[in-house]
Amino acid sequence: MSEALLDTNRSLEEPDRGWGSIWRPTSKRLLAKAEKKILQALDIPYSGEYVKVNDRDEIWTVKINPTNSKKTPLVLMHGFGAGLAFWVLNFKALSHNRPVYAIDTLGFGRSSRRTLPFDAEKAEEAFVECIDGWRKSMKIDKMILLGHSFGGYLAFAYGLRHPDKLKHLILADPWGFPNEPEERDKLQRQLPFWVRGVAMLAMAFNPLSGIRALGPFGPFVVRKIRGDIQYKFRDLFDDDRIMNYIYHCNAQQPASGETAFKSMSSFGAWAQQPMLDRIHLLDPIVPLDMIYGTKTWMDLTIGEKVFNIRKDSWVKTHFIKGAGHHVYADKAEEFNSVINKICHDIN
Amino acid sequence: MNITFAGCGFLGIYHVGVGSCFAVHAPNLIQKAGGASAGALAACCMLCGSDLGKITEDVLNTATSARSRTLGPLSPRFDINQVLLDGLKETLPEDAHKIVSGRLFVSLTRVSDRQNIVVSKFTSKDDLIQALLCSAFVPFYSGIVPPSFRGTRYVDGGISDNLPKVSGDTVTVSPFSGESDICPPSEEISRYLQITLSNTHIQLTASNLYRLSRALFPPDPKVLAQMCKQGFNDALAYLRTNNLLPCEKHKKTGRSKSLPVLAETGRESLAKRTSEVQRPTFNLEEEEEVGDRDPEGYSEVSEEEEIDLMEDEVRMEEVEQMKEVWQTWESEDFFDECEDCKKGSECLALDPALPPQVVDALQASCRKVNSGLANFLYNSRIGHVLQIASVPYVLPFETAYSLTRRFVKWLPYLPTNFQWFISGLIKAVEHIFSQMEDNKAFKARFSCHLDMTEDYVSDFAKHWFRVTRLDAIENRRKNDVEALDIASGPAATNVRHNLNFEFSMDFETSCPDGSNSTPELLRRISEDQGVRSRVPRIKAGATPTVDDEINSGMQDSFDYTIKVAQEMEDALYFHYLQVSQSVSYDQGQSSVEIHEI
Repeated sequence: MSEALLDTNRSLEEPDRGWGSIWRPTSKRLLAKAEKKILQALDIPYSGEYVKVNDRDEIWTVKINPTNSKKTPLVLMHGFGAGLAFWVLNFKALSHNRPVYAIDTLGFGRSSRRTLPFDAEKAEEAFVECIDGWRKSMKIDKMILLGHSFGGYLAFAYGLRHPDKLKHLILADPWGFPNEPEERDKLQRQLPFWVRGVAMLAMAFNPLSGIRALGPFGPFVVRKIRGDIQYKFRDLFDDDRIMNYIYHCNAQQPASGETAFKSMSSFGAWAQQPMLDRIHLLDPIVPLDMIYGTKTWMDLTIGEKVFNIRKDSWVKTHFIKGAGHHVYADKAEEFNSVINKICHDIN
Repeated sequence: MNITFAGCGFLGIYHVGVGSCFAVHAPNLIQKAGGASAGALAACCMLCGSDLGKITEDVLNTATSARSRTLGPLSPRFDINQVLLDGLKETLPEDAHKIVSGRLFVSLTRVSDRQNIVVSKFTSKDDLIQALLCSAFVPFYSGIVPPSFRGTRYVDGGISDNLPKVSGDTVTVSPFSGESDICPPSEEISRYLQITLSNTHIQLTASNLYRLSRALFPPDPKVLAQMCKQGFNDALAYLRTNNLLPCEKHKKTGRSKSLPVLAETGRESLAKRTSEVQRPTFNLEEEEEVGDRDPEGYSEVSEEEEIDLMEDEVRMEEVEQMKEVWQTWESEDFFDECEDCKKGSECLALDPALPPQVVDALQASCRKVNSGLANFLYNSRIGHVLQIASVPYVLPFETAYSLTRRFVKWLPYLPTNFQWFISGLIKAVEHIFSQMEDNKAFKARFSCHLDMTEDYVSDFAKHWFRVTRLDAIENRRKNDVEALDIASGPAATNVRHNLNFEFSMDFETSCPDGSNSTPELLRRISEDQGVRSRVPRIKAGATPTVDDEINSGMQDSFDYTIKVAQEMEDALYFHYLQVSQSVSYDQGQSSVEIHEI
């Protein structure tokens, strides 16, 4: 089990700027430690390294079973506010007979946090080109891309621009597909003035800026309000290391990924450029699988809509009973078997 | 099918909507129900099959009476506990405890340790009502002194577990949009962020914020009516998507194979069903223990076990009967395989309508609020201004009146409540003291500083300056200081070696036993020093190194440290005074500081 902590000292020692670093009990080193603590629970070897994608950005990558290079590698992309360690319940099962790479998305987790363009289209392009740069650096010809939530949106955006690099596209509870309903304004006008005021005020900030503003109370609050996430990972560890990891992932400054997400979303729920409008642009050669938990708050009819649009190509929607939005952790076993089956059928 | 309702205060009207949907479209489907706070009330009424119109009316009346006061539900004259007590006494049937025992799971929070307790057995109707009242007691909102249930004080179960699990797969109902099975869909801004408050998923949306703000401060009856309808629609949507809507023929039996618990088909499911039915009796105690997360606390509840044992025999018979019934069922008894049921699911969804009695109650309440001159004035802007302006004059009288009334009512319970309060106070004080005791840590710093200057004085002087200092206290004596001056005179000229030894040690102990208490420690040190100065023990062997001592794992022994230091000094003393040929001058300084923090 080798963790390339030493190789990455250069990146770790970049100082956190501003008075905020005194107020918030976090640092890159603490994040690295929190991640290591989670990955240590795995009883399989893994290695982590920074992959240079261009002259500015580095992507933190964890590799599992990388020697088995004959098979198409599976690349995992986490969702918003998460990091690659969220896949800890899936690493073992998915890497059984193929290499698995998990990456921290640009601007999230341990990857570079340079300022991204505050424009939906340009930010999306920056994310996509970063993924492609990563693929080139890793010398991967074709890959199976699996994205959850916001990662699913980015994976789809990647598929739109580089369809020839994808062997298969798997989206787990993807964000940003449906169009903004027209009655949203009407619904909102029914609410009292003060509620709208608070909502508008909250919208002015980055989605998770509250966690950072809380400073030393942040870890406690995260533990209090997202206790359910700890429960999801109870099979692997029974302490709050995942909560610690969430905190350090999201307390880092600058939160460039979050800012980019904000620019790409409309009121935090819908995408500025919804994918449902762009499905027909996806090359028909790319096979697409979608996985939803039945309890999720996402629109469960998306799979059907996509199926109706992409009539000539492979589209399949899987529903995992009893799972919520975090489908890969809620019902990890079912999720892993679905993914393994998809991957198996390709080769 | 097992169902659990989230606690949500006045938003409980949503549960009424859900309950009426089940009552109309899928009666007999619910086997067990659980809940906290308003959810527990809803679950209980649902299991008892209480009149839906009556419940709706009660909830709306409570809400309107809470709204009619200037300070809303915080007004001193609004006694929510009394309202609930009266309502429950009237609504629940006399044998309610028999109906719900073993089927109703009420979530409670124990005051003493804030642990969650799930109660599912009730000996009498009053017992049941008391449990429900405890579960609905919001601290400081409902009152100051929490009510007691079977001699223990409990408050709102929503604080510790808002959605108590009834069994492995429980359908969750929550009026807040999130990841519950039955909950309003979210069409609002910023639904990407979610929080979990005592087991209930809540998305951070504007409408959820509004709902949260309205949980304890009820909105207009119109809004409540909307919520009721929303609950009905959401429940119907759930039943439809899960194919749980039976046709007229199967409504009475309510047997479904496609319940979330049982996904198998054919005979297998039948067999499993049988075992499912068996489970209630044998597992009742266990389930309650699972709910009761604090194993110690169970001893209190276990008083009821005697009664349970008596009841067990009766239940065994019941189960035997039920088992036979289940076993004799054919597959056509299950509505999953009935064509009519499948059609029914599709047709019903087209026309979702609340039961007439609920609609009547809702409309009546809305009308009542808006009708009459008094209400018109009351709801107008001028009325509001007048109300607010009159608060400072009316409030003292209202408070005095309601306090007197409550005090009179409270008088019989005064001794027990007072006793509870005093015992709680004593416990708290004891706790603080014990905390202080625990934190009393002893910090000792032991440091030894040894400067040695070895110098050579020309032979003709034939004089050996020897100054030995064993500790700092002696150093301060005047004659020694003079001696030091004599010694340092020639030393300044012929320095050969300059050696500095220094070692210091910090150790902390949080649990000092009797022998390590500060005075004892100080006494020992002084004793040790006395012994050392009287009988210098000379040891010519290798001086023990500090490293050895630390590695041996004995560093926490204060005595040992002193002993080692003493040995070291003795050895040095021996070396320089008896063996060495050169003039030696050593200055030893050792100090022990003990701080009590």
